Amino acid sequence: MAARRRRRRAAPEEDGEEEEEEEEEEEGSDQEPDLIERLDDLDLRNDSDVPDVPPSIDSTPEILRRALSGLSARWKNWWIRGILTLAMISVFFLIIYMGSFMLMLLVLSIQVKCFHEIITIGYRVYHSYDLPWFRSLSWYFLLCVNYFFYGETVADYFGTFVQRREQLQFLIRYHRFISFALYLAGFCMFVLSLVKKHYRLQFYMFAWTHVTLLITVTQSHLVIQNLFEGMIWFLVPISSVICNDIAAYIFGFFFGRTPLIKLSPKKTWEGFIGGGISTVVFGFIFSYFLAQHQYFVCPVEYKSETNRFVTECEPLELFQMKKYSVPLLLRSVLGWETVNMYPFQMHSIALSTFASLIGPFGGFFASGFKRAFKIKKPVTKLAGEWAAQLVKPVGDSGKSSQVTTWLEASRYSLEVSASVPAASRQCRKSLKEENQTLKRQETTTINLRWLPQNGIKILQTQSLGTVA
Amino acid sequence: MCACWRHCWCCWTRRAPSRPGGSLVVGRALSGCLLEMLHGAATAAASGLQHGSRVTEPDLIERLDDLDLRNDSDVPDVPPSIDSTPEILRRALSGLSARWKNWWIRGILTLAMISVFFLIIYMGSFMLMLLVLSIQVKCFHEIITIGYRVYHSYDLPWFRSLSWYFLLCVNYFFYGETVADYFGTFVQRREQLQFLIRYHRFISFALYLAGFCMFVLSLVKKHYRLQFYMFAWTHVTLLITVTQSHLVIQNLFEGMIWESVNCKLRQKEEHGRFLVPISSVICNDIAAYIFGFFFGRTPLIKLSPKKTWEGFIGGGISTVVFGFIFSYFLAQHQYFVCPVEYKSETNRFVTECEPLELFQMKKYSVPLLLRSVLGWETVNMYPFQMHSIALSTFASLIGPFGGFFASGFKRAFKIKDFADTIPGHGGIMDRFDCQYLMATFVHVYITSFIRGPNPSKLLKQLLVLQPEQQLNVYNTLKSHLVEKGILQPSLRG
Repeated sequence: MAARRRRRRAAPEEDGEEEEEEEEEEEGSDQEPDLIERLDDLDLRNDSDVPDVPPSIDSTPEILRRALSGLSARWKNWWIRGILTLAMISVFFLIIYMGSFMLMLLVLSIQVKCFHEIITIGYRVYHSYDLPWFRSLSWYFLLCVNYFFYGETVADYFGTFVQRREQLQFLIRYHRFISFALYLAGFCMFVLSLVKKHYRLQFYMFAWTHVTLLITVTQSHLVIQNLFEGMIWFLVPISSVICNDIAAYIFGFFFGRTPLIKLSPKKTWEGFIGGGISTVVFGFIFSYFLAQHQYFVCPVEYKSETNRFVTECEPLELFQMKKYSVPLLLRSVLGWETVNMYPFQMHSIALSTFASLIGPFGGFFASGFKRAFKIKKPVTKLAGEWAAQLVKPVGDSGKSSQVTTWLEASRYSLEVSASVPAASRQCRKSLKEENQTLKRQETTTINLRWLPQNGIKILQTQSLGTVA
Repeated sequence: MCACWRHCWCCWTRRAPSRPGGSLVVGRALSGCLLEMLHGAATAAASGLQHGSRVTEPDLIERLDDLDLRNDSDVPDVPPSIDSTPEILRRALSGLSARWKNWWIRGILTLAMISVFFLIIYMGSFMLMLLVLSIQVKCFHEIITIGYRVYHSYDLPWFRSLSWYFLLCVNYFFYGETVADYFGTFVQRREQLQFLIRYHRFISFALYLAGFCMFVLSLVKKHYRLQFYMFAWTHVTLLITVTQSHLVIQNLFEGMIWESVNCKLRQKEEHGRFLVPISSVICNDIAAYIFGFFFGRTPLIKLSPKKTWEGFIGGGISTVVFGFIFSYFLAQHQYFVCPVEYKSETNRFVTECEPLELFQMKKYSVPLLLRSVLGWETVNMYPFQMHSIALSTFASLIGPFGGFFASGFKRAFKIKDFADTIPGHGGIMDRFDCQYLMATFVHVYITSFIRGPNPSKLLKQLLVLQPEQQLNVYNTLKSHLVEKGILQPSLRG
């Protein structure tokens, strides 16, 4: 009653009449299942249920499963992770071998997949999968923003290629205007697609799309810009983050004692510090090897004569060996007076330090996000992990946090299911008291959906048993 | 009240501004553990089933009130706004009926706003920039306040400070990028500022990162989702308000010059580019309202039932005509047409120059269609007037979409006005909702159609290079010009 009165008061604006109509319709029906159903995932304030992702189908290939059938579950998991890590790294090396252009396509495909994943989470959170137009609009915005960024950055690199074709000249000259017009068309479509009673939802999805674009698309384009400056600017940061992840995990595994942050209980200070130091050392050594090859150091150019992408150049000063005098502190330790280094190695120290200090924050952010939206496992295991590594230059060590989240979630469901028998007893009592019409049956099942998944299964079987 | 207020949901609910009886049945009974809360809620729900839902119904309905995302149910409404009309006005209009009183208040305040606007234009570009900045901050504040209300997150730890901090960061970034050009001579004399300019992007990024890390560290268990929502809300608001306002300022100052003692390169820009779009939007608003009032019959869009097709079309045509005439008058005065310069000698801002081609009268031959109608063969116009037609057309066609977007936003979050800042009109956002798209459009339009590559900026970049690179550029340019026959090959080589 109070709600309806409030709702009537809340409709002073023009469409007040329509809202009253809707309220009158609702008066007659049974409010109760309605109410409890609506409680389902709607409580924002206390992080209550978001409908959980149904447990993901085990997508391990058949071969692997047969090969590892003998081992225990724990080791099997380890082996699967290990094998897939190696597989990903080899694919990565293969693509590096194929060249910058292939790398650019790889980054682009990862970006699209990340976008898709985050948008799908949004649909699930807001139950908005069937919202009119929205899926097409999200993809359309992704296309627009990508078009804008590619035009701004990549067009420079394809300079000679483009200048020969007259039709492309028009596109380049008015590039900003064309991109803006495309975006505006999407914006107008959004405004025209606003449906009464679903305004808020549509605005939420609009905002969700834009924030996702901000996160995924801008970062991936920065990555590509780095890539075109020289592959070393792409490889060293990314490998630093990966190394930090792995090293922190190993150090944490062997020496981990003091927890780092409440958000990710599995991270430890020992892992953090040990990982940091090994990342800096790794970056230093890795950049030494990379800086010697022109393939990694030179910016990509499109040679119009040969119609190919080439990486040949006069290496920058940055990549030429230089004599450095060892500071006095280290002189006693190392016993050297001067040392030959690439200036780039000094920069790599800075990059690795950032990767180890600030990189983990990206991981904590993603952990928090997954906790907030009750995601047990990523939607797609592999793409999720790699996407996290490649698309976020600041680093997103999602791997260990996934395990944490999963463990937490299963613990939570275990505890709750302890309370289920009590609730189910009361449910059964109430069922007996009321008429077991079809309507009540619906009521029961809908009400039970409110409890987390394990609880649901138990209750559903019980209630069905009673009703049947 | 528990000591661990930050982690205690029940305590947090009690602290949060809520409607009467807002604390949940469940929350009252617990000490903040999610498990117990669920258990209690399960009991409550089950007992609801048991007792025919009489006891728990109001509580459930109450919880449902603002929690239903799917069908736009209640957001807690703003309490009816206090009438903030000044006392003077109220006494003066006490005699009239309520409807006309409202009209008069709106009318008087419209005039007041327009006069303030003209006054600030008179005072100069710098004041305009401050005006735009203060409007931006107020808009940001209004939208963020709506977010707090929607999510009951006013007391969320850290969040208010973080939102303002992000606003500061993004503003710092944008101002550094644009204003550094504008204050070129001013800055070059002070050594300390040099450091800030050179590493500007890095410093801005570092500041932003600090805010990001603070956000991650401030994540509180049980409130993750809320905090993420507020984080996203802040970022989208920044995207809307801050970027647009900086595009407006860039329109105002763009092509800003750097002037040295030896070389007086100037690129032109003018207040006209700032005034014509904004006044077109305002004119469209007012004209559409007037036409709709007198002739309005067919509704335009379900979102805003008060808008009509007659208003839309009539407003559109009058805006184009208005823009045409207004730009004619503006283009004649140097004050509007000349760039703002900072004269280091007199230490003041002046606007004196040789007007651009864009602002010099040109003969246009009237197209055959119009020739029979008007009877003229040629007509003298400023080229800027042609551009003003484009700008006005955009303002009348697409501008309203910004208004519909804001209407939809207000419906979605059940607010009548964004805030109460201006009596009779609502908040600042209410007045500026159409301007946002316009600002971006003008900026894009200028960069695409009017402003070519900027020679003074190029020169500035060139002079920063190493001497060998400068020689390289010089030689390449020389050979290019000689090839084209523009430059005579000198004998000295």
